[in-house]
Amino acid sequence: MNPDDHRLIADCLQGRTAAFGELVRRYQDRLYNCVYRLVDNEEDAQDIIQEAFLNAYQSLDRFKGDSQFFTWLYRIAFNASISLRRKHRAALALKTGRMDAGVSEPLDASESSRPEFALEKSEQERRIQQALQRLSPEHRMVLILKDMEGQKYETMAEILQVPIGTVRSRLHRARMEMRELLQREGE
Amino acid sequence: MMVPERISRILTAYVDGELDARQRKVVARLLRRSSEARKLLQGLQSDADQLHSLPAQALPLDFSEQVLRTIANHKPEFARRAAEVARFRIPTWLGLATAAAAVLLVVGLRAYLTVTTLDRQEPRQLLARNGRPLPPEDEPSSDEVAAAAPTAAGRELLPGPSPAREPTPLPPAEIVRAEKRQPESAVKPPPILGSQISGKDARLRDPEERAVLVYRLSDLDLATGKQLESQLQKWSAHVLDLRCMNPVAEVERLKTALGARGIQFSIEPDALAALKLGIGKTTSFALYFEEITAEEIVAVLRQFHATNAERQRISPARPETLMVNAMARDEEQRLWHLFGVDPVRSAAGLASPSVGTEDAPRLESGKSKRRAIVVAYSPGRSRPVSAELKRFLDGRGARRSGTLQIVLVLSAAKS
Repeated sequence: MNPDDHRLIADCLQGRTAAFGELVRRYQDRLYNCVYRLVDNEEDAQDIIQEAFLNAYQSLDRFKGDSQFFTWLYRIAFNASISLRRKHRAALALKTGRMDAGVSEPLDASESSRPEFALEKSEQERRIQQALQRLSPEHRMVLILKDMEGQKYETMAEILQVPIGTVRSRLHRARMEMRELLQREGE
Repeated sequence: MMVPERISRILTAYVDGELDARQRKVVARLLRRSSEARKLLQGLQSDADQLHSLPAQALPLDFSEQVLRTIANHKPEFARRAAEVARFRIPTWLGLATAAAAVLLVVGLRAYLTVTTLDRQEPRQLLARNGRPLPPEDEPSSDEVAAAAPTAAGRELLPGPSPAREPTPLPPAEIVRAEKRQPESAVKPPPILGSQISGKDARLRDPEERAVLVYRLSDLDLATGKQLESQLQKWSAHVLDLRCMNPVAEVERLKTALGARGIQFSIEPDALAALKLGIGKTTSFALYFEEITAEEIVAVLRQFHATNAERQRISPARPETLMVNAMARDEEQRLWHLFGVDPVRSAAGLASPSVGTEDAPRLESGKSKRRAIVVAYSPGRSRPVSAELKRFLDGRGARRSGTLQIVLVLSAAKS
């Protein structure tokens, strides 16, 4: 683990909350970038990041230091994303009165589907973001971790708590799906 | 022309940057030969580059202050939660002392059982009444003692054949108190990604134990069978670990016994290969089936043993032992690793949830046949989802109430 992170965590555990502020500043943008691409909604992403940091603060004494702090933080943030997605699905199911397994992602929450999104962002970003949102959350996660974060299979397996073979397999499927989606869009 | 999957897999791994030098040379040769492969790789690389080039998003500058303010506002609540967790947290020295006390308790209990009570309905008494000699009085082996002691580490859901854990012969129906497990109702299902936080908290707060039962099939008479049935009925899903001499032969016998009850089997390619090649001594198998009642599974086990009795008279072997573990809800996740299936992407969870939840499988007509699948058992090893497994999972309907989900693991007993 980064010795600097180690020192900040130790300080925080001794009651110096300001040290935790430093950890937040260090990782907030990087984490937010990933989570934003995952959930495609600024407000949700900010809520998730805040929740992730609060959870991390509460559990800091349980962080063993056997992995990078950022890996641990990622895991918390991705878990929080999953929880939020479940809440949205439940809320949408209640709203629509549908309780069957076919409840899909709440597309109205996705920013890339807003009309003004096309004006705010470049065409390329819009295409990629839309294609990304059409993947399953698990496939989105692995592409974000690999292509945006540059993580190795081992780190991804640790973050996602799945075997390396599953990471490899998901990446394969995610890339092929992404290829197909972008081809259909007519690049 | 579609690129075959084995080629697309190596190309995506190439884009991932995870190939070694030898594999990269293979890709280079492939690209020289195939324009389709070159086109696909170009597309994949372009997609990855575009993702990489997406503009970075940033939070407001005062975000960290917001977080610190929230922490300050909730400090009393955080402190209270930390105190709660600390109250339940067991210091290492206390854990060791508890383990030692549990060992003494087990030894003492065994001693008590051997010198008392002819009128207790213990399986050992059933043995005595049946006229068979009681097994000699043993001190528990170190494996039994270790199994009885509560440990902090989680126990593997599906214990594969492990030389280190192989027990010495046990008296029948020895109830071994395993470490604490989580009852289904009290535990919030952990998130798919396995958060450290909620899992540990839930375990520390769980007061209820779940027994691991061990039986000798040879002792599974009517009375003991009823006992096993009532234990099975307490939980809706179980892992049965059956140690036998030749798992290949036993798989065939079990299929016959279960087939007679209308349970259709599919066999995964790895398992089929092992069965055909007859390499059963070193291969373990897992049979997964749903919609079987406790009575049926016990009857099948008894029938299974009965067909072996003749062979065992000719060449007496180590008695077949059956270990019965109830499956906790959060242990289902590990079960998915057995099948190498992504639990979130699957149409329905292995624990068929009750109808009315958003994850409930759709009821489809014509899918009322009872099904089972045989896989080569290698927990933790990832595998691609085979067509047989996919067909099996897709063909499942809603489970009838009163039926159980069973994973029956067949592995070779040490001779």
